[in-house]
Amino acid sequence: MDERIITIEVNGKQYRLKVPVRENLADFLRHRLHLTGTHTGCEHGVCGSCTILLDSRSVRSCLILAVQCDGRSVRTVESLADAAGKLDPLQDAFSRHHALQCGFCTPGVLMTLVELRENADPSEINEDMIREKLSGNLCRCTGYQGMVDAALETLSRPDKRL
Amino acid sequence: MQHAGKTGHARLEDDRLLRGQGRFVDDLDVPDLLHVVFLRSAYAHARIGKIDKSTAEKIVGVHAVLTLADLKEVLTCERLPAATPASAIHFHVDPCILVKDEACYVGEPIAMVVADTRAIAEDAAALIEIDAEILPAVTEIRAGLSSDSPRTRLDQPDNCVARWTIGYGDCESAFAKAAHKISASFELHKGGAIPMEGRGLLARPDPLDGVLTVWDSTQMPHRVKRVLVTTLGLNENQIRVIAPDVGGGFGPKGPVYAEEVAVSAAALLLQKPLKWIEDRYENFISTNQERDQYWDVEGAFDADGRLLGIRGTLLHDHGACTPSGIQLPQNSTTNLIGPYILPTYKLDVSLCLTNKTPTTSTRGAGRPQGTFVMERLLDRMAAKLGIGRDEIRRRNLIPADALPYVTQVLTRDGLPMTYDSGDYPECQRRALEAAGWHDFLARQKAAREKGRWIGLGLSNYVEGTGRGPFETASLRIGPSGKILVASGAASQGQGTSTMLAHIAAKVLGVRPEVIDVTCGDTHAIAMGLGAYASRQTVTAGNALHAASLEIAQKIKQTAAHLLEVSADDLELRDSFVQVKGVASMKKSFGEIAKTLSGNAGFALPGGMKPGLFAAVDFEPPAITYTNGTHLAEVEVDIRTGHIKITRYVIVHDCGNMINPQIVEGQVLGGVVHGISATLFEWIRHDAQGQPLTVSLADYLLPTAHDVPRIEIHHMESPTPLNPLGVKGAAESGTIGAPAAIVSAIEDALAPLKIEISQLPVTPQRLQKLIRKAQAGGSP
Amino acid sequence: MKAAGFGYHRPETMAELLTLLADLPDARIIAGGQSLMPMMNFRVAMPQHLVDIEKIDGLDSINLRDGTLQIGAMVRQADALASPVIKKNCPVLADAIAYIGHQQTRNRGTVGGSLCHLDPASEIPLVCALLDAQLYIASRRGTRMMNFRDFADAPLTTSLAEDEILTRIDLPICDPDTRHGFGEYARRSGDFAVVAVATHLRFAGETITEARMAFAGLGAIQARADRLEMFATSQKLSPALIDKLAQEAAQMPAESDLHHDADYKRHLAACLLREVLERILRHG
Repeated sequence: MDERIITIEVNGKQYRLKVPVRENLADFLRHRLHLTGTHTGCEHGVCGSCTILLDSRSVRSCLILAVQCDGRSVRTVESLADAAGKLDPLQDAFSRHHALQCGFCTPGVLMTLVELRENADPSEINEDMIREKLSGNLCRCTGYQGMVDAALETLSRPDKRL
Repeated sequence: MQHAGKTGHARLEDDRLLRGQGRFVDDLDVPDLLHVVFLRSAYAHARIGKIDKSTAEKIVGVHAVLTLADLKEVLTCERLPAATPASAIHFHVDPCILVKDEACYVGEPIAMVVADTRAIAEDAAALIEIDAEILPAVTEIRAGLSSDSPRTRLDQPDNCVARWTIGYGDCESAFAKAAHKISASFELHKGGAIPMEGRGLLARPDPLDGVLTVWDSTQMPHRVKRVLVTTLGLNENQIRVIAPDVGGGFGPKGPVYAEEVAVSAAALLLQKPLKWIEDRYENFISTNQERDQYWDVEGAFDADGRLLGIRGTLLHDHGACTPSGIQLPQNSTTNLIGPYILPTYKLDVSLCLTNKTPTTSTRGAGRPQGTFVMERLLDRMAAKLGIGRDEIRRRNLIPADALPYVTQVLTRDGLPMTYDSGDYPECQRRALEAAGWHDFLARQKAAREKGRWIGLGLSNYVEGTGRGPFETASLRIGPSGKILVASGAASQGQGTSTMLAHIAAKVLGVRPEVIDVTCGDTHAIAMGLGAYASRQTVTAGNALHAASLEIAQKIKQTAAHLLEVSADDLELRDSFVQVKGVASMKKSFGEIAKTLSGNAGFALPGGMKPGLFAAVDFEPPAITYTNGTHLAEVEVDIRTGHIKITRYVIVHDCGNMINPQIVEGQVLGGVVHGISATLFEWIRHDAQGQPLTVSLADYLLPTAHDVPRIEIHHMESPTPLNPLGVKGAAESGTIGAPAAIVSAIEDALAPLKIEISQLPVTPQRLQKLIRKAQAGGSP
Repeated sequence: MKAAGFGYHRPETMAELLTLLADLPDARIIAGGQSLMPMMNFRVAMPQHLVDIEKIDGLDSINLRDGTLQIGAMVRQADALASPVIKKNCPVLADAIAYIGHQQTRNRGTVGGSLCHLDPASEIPLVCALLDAQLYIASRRGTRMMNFRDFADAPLTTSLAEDEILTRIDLPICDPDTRHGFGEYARRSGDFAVVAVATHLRFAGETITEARMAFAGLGAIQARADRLEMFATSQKLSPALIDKLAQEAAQMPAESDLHHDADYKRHLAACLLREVLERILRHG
């Protein structure tokens, strides 16, 4: 079995580990680092449950090999709460707006929205834009409405909210 | 009713899920864990001969390759004891635990590989060689029910697995005297459940205590345990089934599947912990679906548009076996009646076995189809009579003062289907008002002048919820003072723990956060059923409510002895029992529990019975009926056939609400399942029975971009059938959606006189109807 | 759904890469992996070797040189979408890329990867067909240039030899006399097109002096519609011409697939073409 040693930063922590080259990043995070917040819902790049940030850009971790992430930096849902354990405002808004039910898709959705927060001008974030950005994350429980509301409240300027 | 949980009150489940600290089955890890992959039938129908596993067994990392013959050592039977009783069924076809000699659908498990990793197991599974003789497949139900059809299973006499007639009254006379009649045919498709987490389990035998623990992504852990006890020949104390966090269920995680038995059996056989996680491809081919129903119906009406009768036939695709009786098509037939007065009814129902994945309930459980048929008949008759779609419904709705209303059909429990509470005309009135029904004509006219095709549609429906026979809940407080709740209920995201905590909290005068709720663990409570039929608030909620009242009473009685006051002068507050208005005179729940846990040789005070523990089985006396009215507004792009839902309004009545935010979440999610079934989801097969929609790229689910903002308004008509006055809400949203959306599409295209008879309504299908109408063809 | 085993190679120089491609049997290049990885996870693709080209310098630049827009094969779709150079000089490409996938896939997916995957419904090959993109192909044997027409053999099949790699895509830049249009119908945001159309018209006054029209999704690979172009050339863009072109588009050859039949696709092609041309007519 072809294996490589990789160095990877995950949620600010450096890891140096041997991985089979065929192991994708989602499986690596979940089963080697035991960061099981990143979920795999389809393993073919459609559902978005495995969305993480690779060098601050949202990507499907089921479509990247761990070995391709050698020397790179990854952020997962486990990085969102602060060191004291306080939830990120987006996580807090998700709870208040009932933006999650089973919670399986939630980590991927959160990471997609974190990228949006870090890159978009709050004055440009409106409901349409949020729905467009979320179109790469499937949810089967919520009908998306709570997530849209939580994102609007957290990411957009007050005049763009409903 | 005062709501226990207000909007913005965090669910107890949220914190861990938001942090990525949920524990779904695939998140669990135990030492020496091995991974299972199933080799599944690649053919819709084949005779299976020799299985050569020698090459697969030689792969490094493979621990075992197992067939039914290998598992027999630990199995008591070859098939799942799944049969749900139904007299209409001519022959039960229980699913095979692994295929013995005849594979009857693509995806049916034949053999299993146990290996160090899932990847290695997949490598090996590809190397198992099977002698298969391909047999003709039954893929279409009309052909399948004809006398010259090939057989779905060689050991059965024909494909008609069940046939019955539902009905009452003199339908023939009703039709003979009808002023107006219409007939219609519908091909109704409903897809799968497609929860974001597939099925899966981890089975771990423990040599220290001899217990097999199974963590299973299931809606019904106690049922899984029962099936494992039977199939593995173990005692009840040798199996523990736990449903950990479950990533959505929506119906198909209710039945027990072959994989749950096979993996548990292999774990016993090998004495190793084994994990099987269903991948998305497997989810599309091996998890139960709904698929096709063909309806041919006629409606008879009097001169004013009042229903006199409905008659016709229903053909239903049952798939390759009968894992769940006839309940899915049965729901379709009874839910057709809906909130209307239907004086006579006669429907001949035939269930056809096909060489496809078995069909069982997905969210809505057959009801959306029945509602769709009734609502289409009403819309079509309204058009024929030139009266409003709202008006024809008004003339047929059961008036509020007629409730409780006894229909003339029986439910599965053998009782007459009885609508217990609600006000259907008022529900429709409020929905029409909220959606601006009466102003819509003007808006529509203005839009049409600009070349825009907009339409507004409506539907009314009921949903039978809170199905029995029972659910259990217990409440225990020990000397630690911690309030421990357990229930046979199980959650797949519904917020069941939060709902239960709110009910107990209100009775015990504590905050919900201090209550520890365990759902879905067979060791936490001996009996239970789980999640199906929108039932858990009704059943488990009332069970826990009763248990909480019992404990509250006992706390007060014990404290009355200790504080030497009357129990009536005591109140419960923040885990203390105190004399009303005298905060210094109090005992903590822990102190009370300690008192009742006794001292060796001493009597308990005041002759109290030991312990602060109560367990209650709540047996609902009958099904309680939720109802609602849906209004959908759509815009159709007549060039592409694209349908955009621009607005969605619901008035919903599920009796008292424990937590309105959770109720709305259930309704919202339900509606989006309904939108999805109406416009997107479509399971396709080729003529040989090969499934063609096996990825999320080919099987479409709506995204955030494809669904509208949904407005929900509530009525609260408490049911007299349970002390909390609550009804279920989880499937209701799905039931009304297809009918309302199609009503809106037809309204948008009214100048073209288009009638929609197929689900899903794809842009291609709709555009072809539009072009045909534009070309002057008959609709 | 786990990929079968393979050998993994991550060359750091072009020379090293070309040697690997020349020497390794059954090697597949992985760029962004957004098409290849799903196929590998499904085990539809099971290459013996995977050659990762992320470390190769110089494949991810966007340049304007000699009146040509030069796009490196490894330019990420998200970067192409955000590129002011592309937006200004080849707006039809920018319009097209906005329809590709989702943020998460555009962040990884590359312009060259999409071109080499050659899904018949995808947008980048459509623009390359429309504008007769010149493609730079490298191998140990040397570098060659070919027109998209010669590159695109059939759906999902390029004419690249096993030892070759696409390195750069050159597109002509637009000028003040040209007008472009792009239209697509997909079931959901981010899905592959059911049908997409791209047009590029050069005007002298009101007369069309050069007409380019290309379609995706009709079944065959993305290609220019010669017959339609012939009808449009030397004509004035008018409602009558648009009617005629739409009628012609409705007669184009198309193939049915699982989700959509040929008839519907032709109908969409006609509608989309009409919409695109009417937009040009309205806005001049």
